[in-house]
Amino acid sequence: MKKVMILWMLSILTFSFTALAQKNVNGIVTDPKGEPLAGVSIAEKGTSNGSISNADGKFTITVPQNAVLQFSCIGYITQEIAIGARASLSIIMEEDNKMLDEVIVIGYGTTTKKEITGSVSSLSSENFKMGNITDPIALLQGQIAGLNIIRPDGGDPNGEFQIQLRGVTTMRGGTSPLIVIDGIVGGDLSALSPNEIQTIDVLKDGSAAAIYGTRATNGVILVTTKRAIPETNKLEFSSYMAFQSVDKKPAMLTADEFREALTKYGMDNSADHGASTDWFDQVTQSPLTQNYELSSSGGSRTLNYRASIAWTKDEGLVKKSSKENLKTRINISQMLLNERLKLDYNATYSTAKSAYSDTYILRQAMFHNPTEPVYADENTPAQYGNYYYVGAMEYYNPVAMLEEYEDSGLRKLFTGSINASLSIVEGLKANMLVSLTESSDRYGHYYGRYYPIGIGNNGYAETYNNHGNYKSLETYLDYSKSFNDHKIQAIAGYSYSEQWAESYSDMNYSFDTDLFSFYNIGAGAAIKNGLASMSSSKSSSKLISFFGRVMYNYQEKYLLTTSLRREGSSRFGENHKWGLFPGISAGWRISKESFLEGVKWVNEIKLRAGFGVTGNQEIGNYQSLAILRKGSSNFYYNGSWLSTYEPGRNPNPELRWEKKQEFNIGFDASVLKNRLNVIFDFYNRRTTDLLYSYSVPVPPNLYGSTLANVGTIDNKGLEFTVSGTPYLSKDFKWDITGTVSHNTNKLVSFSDDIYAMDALNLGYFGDDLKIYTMRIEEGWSLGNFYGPKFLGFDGNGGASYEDLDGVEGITEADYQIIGNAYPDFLFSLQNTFTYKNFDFSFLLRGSVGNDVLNQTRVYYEGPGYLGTKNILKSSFDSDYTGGAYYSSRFVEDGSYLKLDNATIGYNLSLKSTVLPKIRLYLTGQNLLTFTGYKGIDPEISLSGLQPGIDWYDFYPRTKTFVVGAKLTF
Amino acid sequence: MKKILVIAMALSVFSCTNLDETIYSSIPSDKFFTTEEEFLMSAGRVYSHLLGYTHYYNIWGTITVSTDEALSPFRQFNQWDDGGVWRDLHAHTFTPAHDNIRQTWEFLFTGISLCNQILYEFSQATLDFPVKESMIAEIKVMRAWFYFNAIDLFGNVPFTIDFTDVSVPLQKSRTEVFAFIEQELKENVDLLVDSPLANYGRATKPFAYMILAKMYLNSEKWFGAPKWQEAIDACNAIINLNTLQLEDDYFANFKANNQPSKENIFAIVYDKVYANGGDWSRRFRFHQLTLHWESVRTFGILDETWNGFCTSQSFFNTFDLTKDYRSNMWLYGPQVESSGAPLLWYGWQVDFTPYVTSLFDMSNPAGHNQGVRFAKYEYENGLQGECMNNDYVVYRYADVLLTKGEALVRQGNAATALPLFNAVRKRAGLSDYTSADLTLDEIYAERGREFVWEGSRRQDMIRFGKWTAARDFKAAESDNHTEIFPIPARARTNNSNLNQNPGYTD
Repeated sequence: MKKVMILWMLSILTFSFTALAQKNVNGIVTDPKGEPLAGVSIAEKGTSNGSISNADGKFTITVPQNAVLQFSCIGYITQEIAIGARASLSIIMEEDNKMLDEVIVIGYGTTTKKEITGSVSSLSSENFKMGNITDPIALLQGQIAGLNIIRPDGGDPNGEFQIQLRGVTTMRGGTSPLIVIDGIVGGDLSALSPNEIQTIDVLKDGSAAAIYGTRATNGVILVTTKRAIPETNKLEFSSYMAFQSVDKKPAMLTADEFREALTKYGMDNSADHGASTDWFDQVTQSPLTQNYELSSSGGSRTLNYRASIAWTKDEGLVKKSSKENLKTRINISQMLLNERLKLDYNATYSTAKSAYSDTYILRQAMFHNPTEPVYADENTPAQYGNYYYVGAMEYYNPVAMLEEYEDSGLRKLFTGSINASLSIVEGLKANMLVSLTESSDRYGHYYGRYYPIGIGNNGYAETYNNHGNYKSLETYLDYSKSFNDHKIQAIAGYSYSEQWAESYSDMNYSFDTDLFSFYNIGAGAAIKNGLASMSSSKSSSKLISFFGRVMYNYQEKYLLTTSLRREGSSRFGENHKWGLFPGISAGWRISKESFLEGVKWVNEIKLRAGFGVTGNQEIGNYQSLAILRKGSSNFYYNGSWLSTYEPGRNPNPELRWEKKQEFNIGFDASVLKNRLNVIFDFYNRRTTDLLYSYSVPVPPNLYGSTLANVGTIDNKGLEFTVSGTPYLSKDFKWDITGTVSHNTNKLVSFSDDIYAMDALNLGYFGDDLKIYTMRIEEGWSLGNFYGPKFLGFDGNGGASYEDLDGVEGITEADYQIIGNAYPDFLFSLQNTFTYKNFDFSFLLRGSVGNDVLNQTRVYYEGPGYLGTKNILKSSFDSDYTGGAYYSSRFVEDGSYLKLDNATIGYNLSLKSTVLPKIRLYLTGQNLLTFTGYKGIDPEISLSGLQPGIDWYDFYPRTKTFVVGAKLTF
Repeated sequence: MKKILVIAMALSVFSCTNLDETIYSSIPSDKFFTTEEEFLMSAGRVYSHLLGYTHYYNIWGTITVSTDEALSPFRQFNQWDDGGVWRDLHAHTFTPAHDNIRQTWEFLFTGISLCNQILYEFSQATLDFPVKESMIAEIKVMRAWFYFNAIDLFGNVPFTIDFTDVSVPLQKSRTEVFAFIEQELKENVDLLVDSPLANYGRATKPFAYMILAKMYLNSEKWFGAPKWQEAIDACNAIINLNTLQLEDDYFANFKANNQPSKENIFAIVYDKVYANGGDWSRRFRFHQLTLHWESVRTFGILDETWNGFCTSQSFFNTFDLTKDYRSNMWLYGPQVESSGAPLLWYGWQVDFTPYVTSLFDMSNPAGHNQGVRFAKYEYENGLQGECMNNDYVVYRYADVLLTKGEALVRQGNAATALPLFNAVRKRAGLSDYTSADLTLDEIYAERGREFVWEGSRRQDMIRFGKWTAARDFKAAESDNHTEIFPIPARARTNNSNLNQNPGYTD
């Protein structure tokens, strides 16, 4: 202890001696109104020497002669002062309104944060999380209140993301938000590298989204890609490696436990095949991901470019599965005619090569008998190849499924666009964007002769080829003018888009050899025997619209935005092709009122309110037309077989849009020198004319269902975002952002005079049970689990359930609501710490109150399947000996808290003109999950009408560790 | 980029508000019906619709599993519970929510709607062609057959024959619909051909008369109004056509290639290539339904079989296994591979026992090898794909003989009936009946043995008063309401005009 004291004394002394060669500078820092400012960081430029102003705005710092001081504080513009000979300073900090002047992309133009009146969230590249992220949509996960993003097949590199904004707004239509990339409506985000994105803006409420009309019900995600910084030559190289490991696997019995279970449940040992196999390990691997990206940009203000290329190879947890992405992009910007005309060319080309995994393999591996050997023994009949074979129904050797199966795809996507913007007179601009997107997809499957399903096929091949084409034109005039206290910005435009898609597929089997895979599909014999098949199709659709928007404000205090889109789609009935989508919103910046002028701690308070109408047209083409199609079977007519032709569907000339009306109120507040920011929104959205396939009487109808617009769904919710900087000093900064969202929904109706539905039963479990596990009735919330309520085990190997109708036995009359899939609220918490050149950040995400139906437990907790199949270890937790039976026993609380992402980074800045700036980082993804859920992962798909079911066709999430570097020249 | 510019200019010039759809892979309805063949291809849907008949979830499964000739017990390992649909059918505990009954209903009324729609198309035709009149008659007779099945299964049913009437149909009584069918058949029968072989797989005179014969045979049970003589007359009308005869070999009617059968009156024509479209529910798959998964090696089948349906022990016991040639339809006892070697599963020989432990008992399920299996239809060696090539026999000449025989006996004319029964008995390798043998119980039993899994048993059990009695896995019923199936709940949701049948609550 004494030693430490001495050392400490010595260091103080040393410090004092050093200081002797310097001088003391003191002073006061005030805001423009003359009020003292506390917490201003004062640093000697180029050193680690620094100080902070106290509550009276005063500071003292010891510096050498001629030092330069930096004054910085959040909410104010940083100043540099050369002190010269002065020993005392009086500094006035200028307010920094950059945050309020931040540009927000709103579709067909931009506005500023202070002027926005709708509910719009933004994320810019400096806040993007790091890690193994190849699809930019993942950047938004856990970042935006009300936007719920889940990748149901967590560890599958080919898995899709499910995106849901502000609850369920459709029963049958599309559920994904509209993606707009650099103004091109309907883009494919996965073709873009996250590194190429500058900002992402999400139009959440109806008033903001209404400008995109019929495609905007699920919200609009506007993506702006990076451009060159003029007069700056830059080359960036980045790379990372990711290592994944399975976080949790299904807790099935080991071979030894399986043998014990046979004894425990009094079964003979005929099911013991003598081996010990971990089937899960047999079909999985430890995947590795590599990513390399190169981008270069430069040029003058009037002509510049940016080009990039990114390559990623992502291996999957299941053996043989992978995805290989190549993404290239080039942008050229040019200004002509005295800089009145600006041209912006964009071209992107990407390929994605996928080797798919089959989740059915994982299900088979999960319930496979662990005492079976993997490979054949002397008793195995020759037709099963080298794989051990047991002839039970729907029971297949997972290793054979894996090794004898090839499933791959290749997707190519090209997008080219030109945007021309011409300044006609001061304040008036004409803008035209033309784009072309060409896509091609090829998928192929091959099941070898020893693939355990369909033994006897002798090799089965399928290929699919799809080609898509999308052209769009977006033109508008943009007029803006300020006079006195008034500011007006108006646009008026026309939009046209058309798409067509062609597809071709074929199937053949009975091949002489497996060596062809699906690359020589004509070689199979089934085509000669009339058992092969082929098909092709083509479809097209068009969208045309006229739109306008006026934004007006008075003294930047009272804000008003109105927009209107009139849009027509070829997909709808003759009398319903055109729809009208208005949006109106207003804002009041209370902080600009005189009574708040003097309130120092308030920087910004704005109230917002808006109303907007949007639509959903994702129903497929030709649904309203009377068409004939070829029937699936022929009929025998006088010694030969004739084709059949049948109407495509029951006609419904009344087919029209799904229409959503949304009311949103909210406020934005920034206080304490903008160090604390709060955004709050409340929304109430009603979707009417919901499309659904209705059961109709036959006759008079030809088919038992008709697509009709009937139902109404309500969603109401709250969103809350708090961000701030709790601690700030010269070297250390702590930023924190938290979001909470809450949504409730209700199915108001799904019947009218013509189309009636008592209830909608969903969540169908096949495989012996054949029951519906979910139900929707009018007036109910969506997402209800419906079934018998489990009361407990009866001690005799059975279980008892609540008997509601008093009639002996549990029937449908005893079913009740036994859970709901939707969370009470979702939350996230992002923390970022910066210390000198180090940074550390972590993201927590969580969900509270969501119920999950654990399908694996329904079937495999209990000895029902023991013997042929394996069962869960948890079977031993009770004395239950009955078969699979659905009840509330398997509807579990799925609340969770996840450490989703943690990154530690280091920026190495070498004082050299040749050596690059280097950033090194280490990221962990999906690191920890806290939950009481008994299955693998409670983060389950919440999209569609049957959310919250943890199907036994699972793909476990992986824990990922990423090590990466970025070099900037 | 040049291309884009050109497109941009084109768009700017032609941009307009035209939203017409261009169709590529289907046909606008107004461009069809220009040739005879196009009319036939539309009319043929009635027959391709019939391919769904034998599906186990459809009418065949419903009327077969609800009798003593078939059951699908809850089995160990690969359970076959399917939410209780099979046990509810077998034990007569079905409700309006029963899914197979719903599918049966939808099969029949989709058939009726199809006929209405096709007849409407023909009525709109300006084109004339030689077979137009007979084709219209065929469709009308098929519609009558759907209605006959509908009143047989469901009693009072919604009725419409006009496709242009889009209102929800009213429910008509069994009596009214009976009268319609009778009249429709009589009006159209003469427009049809005499020989099933000349119009294979489609409606013919014998088919129309057979429907009439079956209606009259059940008239007493249905309405308390015996029509025995009318039944005999209808059978005679078939016999007098001289286009049909008993095959010498009982099993010739069920071969993989059974089209040449001179006995079959009406068959649903299956073909693994042509009648096996993409539709999963339109395949003839008795092999998959009943055979043990290891039995593929007995028959050389290149597919999976599902170890489901078997027959009840009591029904199996009505066969004289040593004498009755027809008992070769059953697979029982130790099983062998096609080579003759024992058929092994886990080293044990598969052995089908007539005894079945339970219909549904989770703790004591039926064994995987329990229940006698069905092999009346030939299981073709090397069968690949899920659809058998055999044609499913709906009606055959033996039924004409036994129907006429039964009607005669019920009229008190056993002596005249005797040769009709003995013709069938003789072919089965059994001794002749005497007049004293021809009790109703014996007729019932003989019909059972002759028409196993041919869709006749339900009607027989009801007509002979056996339907509600106790049998294996079914208690005696307190009333006879189950003789008519409940109207499916969904049908009543869709059509509020429908009253539920007595004895059922929704």
